[in-house]
Amino acid sequence: MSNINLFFIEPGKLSEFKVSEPAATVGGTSTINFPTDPSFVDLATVFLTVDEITDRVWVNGTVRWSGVFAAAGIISATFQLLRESIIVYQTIQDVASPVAATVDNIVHLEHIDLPMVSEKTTLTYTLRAQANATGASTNGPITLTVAELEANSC
Amino acid sequence: MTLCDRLTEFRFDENFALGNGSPVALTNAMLATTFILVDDPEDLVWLNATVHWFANLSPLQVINIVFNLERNGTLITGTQQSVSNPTGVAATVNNVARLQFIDAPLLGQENPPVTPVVYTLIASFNTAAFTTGPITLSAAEIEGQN
Repeated sequence: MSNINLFFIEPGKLSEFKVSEPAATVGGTSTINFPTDPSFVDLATVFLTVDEITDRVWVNGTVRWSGVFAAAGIISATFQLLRESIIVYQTIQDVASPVAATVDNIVHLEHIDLPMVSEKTTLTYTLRAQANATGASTNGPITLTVAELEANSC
Repeated sequence: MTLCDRLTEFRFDENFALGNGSPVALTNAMLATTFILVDDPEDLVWLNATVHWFANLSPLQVINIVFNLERNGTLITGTQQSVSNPTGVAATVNNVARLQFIDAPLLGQENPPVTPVVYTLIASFNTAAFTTGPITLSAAEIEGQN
């Protein structure tokens, strides 16, 4: 696409990809209980090296989790993505049950991060969780990926 | 599509990554839009969208929301998701919708010019549901390597 003007330069080339997948199946890891506020539990951590101010980092996380109910109720879980110690993304998902039961759900997190670094820098991305009540947990699958996208040079 | 396809372009629209926007009712609401440039009939566009949404529900209430992805105003994919309140008291219930679709916007065209294609994420059907973000829509062009 070098024969078109600057407006039409394609701003994207996948140049690095890292993954942390502590569990690829249900039961792939021992049960990780979600703590209540103000605590969080780390579910996955991954490292990525970026080196240009235009670099973008496409972060995707997927977690199957469940809530255990003794009676009708709703359990709410908060999931966060952190770059180093900075919260860059946060979402909330609930499970609900009309009776005593275990209810499963799958959450997906997607964030395009702009770390704005001007020199070679290794960044740590962390996926973590918390719940508003006891009874929430995961034993997989848990997947966290980071993809560096940089400008095309031609 | 070849055996050596690669990601050559990436565009996105992301609103309220921390989920702290003002509530937007999901009534034919345009949640995010982005565009991407394609120029080959075999170009593929890998679309991903993720939305946190919630509803303030009466006891024993269930609602369904439709999320659609449009290319230049034409529906190309959609999905539906629910939240329910099984308790005897009013409650706010949260969910996260995820859409993924592979589009071939120039399929069948001969020698197309560089063409901007606009993708839009739309939610509809119920005034009782809202989003405060995060809302993420990304479009990645996948093309054969030269």
